[in-house]
Amino acid sequence: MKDRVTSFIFPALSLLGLVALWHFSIDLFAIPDYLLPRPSAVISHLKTGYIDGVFWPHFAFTLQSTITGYLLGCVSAILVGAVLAESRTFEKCFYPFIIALQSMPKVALAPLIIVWFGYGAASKVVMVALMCFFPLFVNTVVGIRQTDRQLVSMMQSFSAPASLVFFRVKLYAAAGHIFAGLQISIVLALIGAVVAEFVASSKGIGWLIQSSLANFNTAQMFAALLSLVAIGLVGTQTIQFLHRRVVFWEQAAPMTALPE
Amino acid sequence: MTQGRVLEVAGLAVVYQSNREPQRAVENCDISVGAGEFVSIIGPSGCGKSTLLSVVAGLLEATRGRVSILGSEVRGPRPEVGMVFQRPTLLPWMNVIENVLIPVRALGRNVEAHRQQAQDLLKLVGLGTHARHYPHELSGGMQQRVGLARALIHDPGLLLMDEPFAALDAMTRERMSLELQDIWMARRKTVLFITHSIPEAVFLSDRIAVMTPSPGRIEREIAIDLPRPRRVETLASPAFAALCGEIRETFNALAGEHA
Ligand SMILES: Nc1ncnc2c1ncn2[C@@H]1O[C@H](COP(=O)(O)OP(=O)(O)O)[C@@H](O)[C@H]1O
Ligand SMILES: [Mg+2]
Repeated sequence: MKDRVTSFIFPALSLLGLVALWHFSIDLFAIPDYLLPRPSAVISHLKTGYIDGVFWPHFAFTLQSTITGYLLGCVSAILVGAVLAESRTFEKCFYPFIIALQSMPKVALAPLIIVWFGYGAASKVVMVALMCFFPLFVNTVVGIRQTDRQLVSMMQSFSAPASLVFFRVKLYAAAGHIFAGLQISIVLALIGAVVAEFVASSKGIGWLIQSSLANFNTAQMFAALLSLVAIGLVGTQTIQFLHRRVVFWEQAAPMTALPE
Repeated sequence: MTQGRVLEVAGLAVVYQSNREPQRAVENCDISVGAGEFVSIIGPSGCGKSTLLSVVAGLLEATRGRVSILGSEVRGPRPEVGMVFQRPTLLPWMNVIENVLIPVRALGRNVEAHRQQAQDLLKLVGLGTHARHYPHELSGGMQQRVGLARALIHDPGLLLMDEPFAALDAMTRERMSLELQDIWMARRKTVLFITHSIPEAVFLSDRIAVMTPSPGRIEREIAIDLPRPRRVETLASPAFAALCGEIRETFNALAGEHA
């Protein structure tokens, strides 16, 4: 209980200290507003943004394309990863291309994706999906491949068909890796959404940041950045919570033979 | 072929094709086990005991020779076989009773119809109240008992056990031997048991087959005619000590020849 309290209070105190330091150093060093806005200015932008509501359409646009793209990218990564891990033929046919595509910086594809999928939400969704795909795909393949071989031969000794071995053993054995991939992909999804909005958009938090640049409205930029932090934080925390819930056996004591 | 033989291994050879030179793990190996018999194979580590058992379980192909179970040749895993491994090899994401039911699921039989039987087996191995626990909540000995219940759930005619107690401490090991004997006497399974512990083999077996160092073959078979049920006191009897001594001598002589 005491740990809980201090793990809330200590970061809150250091945040307060940091904001105070920020506030006072602006006057102390005479920092102009366009370089570093006052905390109060950022807060007032957040207020007009979310209470008066001018940010909401942008927030919703970015959130929606991030979530849709994330789901699309992650589901296909797990499916393709599973098929590739299980089928040598499929692996031989496609692995070289996937590796080649993986070593390319995906953000460089953003302009092309805009050309193909237009200025609207579709291009953002595709960009996000592309960003999410690779780390999760690789983790799924590795997770399935590292399944304890003894568990597999145990299943085979009882005449288990390959489908049962896959769904009851390999998929679970890979769960820890898959969740790690889901975690990485959340952050990459946000990067994808923002980059696509930078390149071409008329909406979204990324667009908001870019349009703030036009009139050096750094306070609004800060408010937009904080919105991204909030989405990222809620996303990663949710995945972490699900990870602990679903893969309950990995946090528990290791499965070694203990004396009675 | 003799009638009533559950397992028959004749002229078995297994060669592992590794990247380096081929590894001859088992050569010219013969053994047969009759219905209801408890036979132990004992041999130094690396002599090919697990390899032999994998072939019998249908997990590994023989390079030469014949293996048949209940008169028909082994070509893959068979429903008449139940296997217990050196490590418990339970699925950590399934609770105890689901783990016990794995063979039922694997064989495509009705899982619900076997639930009561799984519960009875858990009671038999002393885990009647642990059905809903997960493997990581159990000690090594308890996990190994779940493995034993799992190997019995589909009522196999032949039980294969690969050093099932090797990872346990001495006290637990002794108790597990006693329990295994009780279960074997109650269910009259045919058992092929692998161990590198001489007293364990003598305590449990009707017959002990001693294997040579690698490439392994059965060099000698010794019948153990100690009366059943054997008890803790049996371990201290002169007859028990004499049998252990005889096997140790055979064992050492074989190790010497091959050294
Ligand atoms: N998959 C494998 N590939 C190559 N060699 C193996 C393999 N498994 C076992 N061996 C070799 O075969 C021999 C017998 O192994 P094993 O049957 O595990 O012995 P034991 O169970 O008696 O300790 C050993 O020399 C071992 O190194
Ligand atoms: Mg072995």
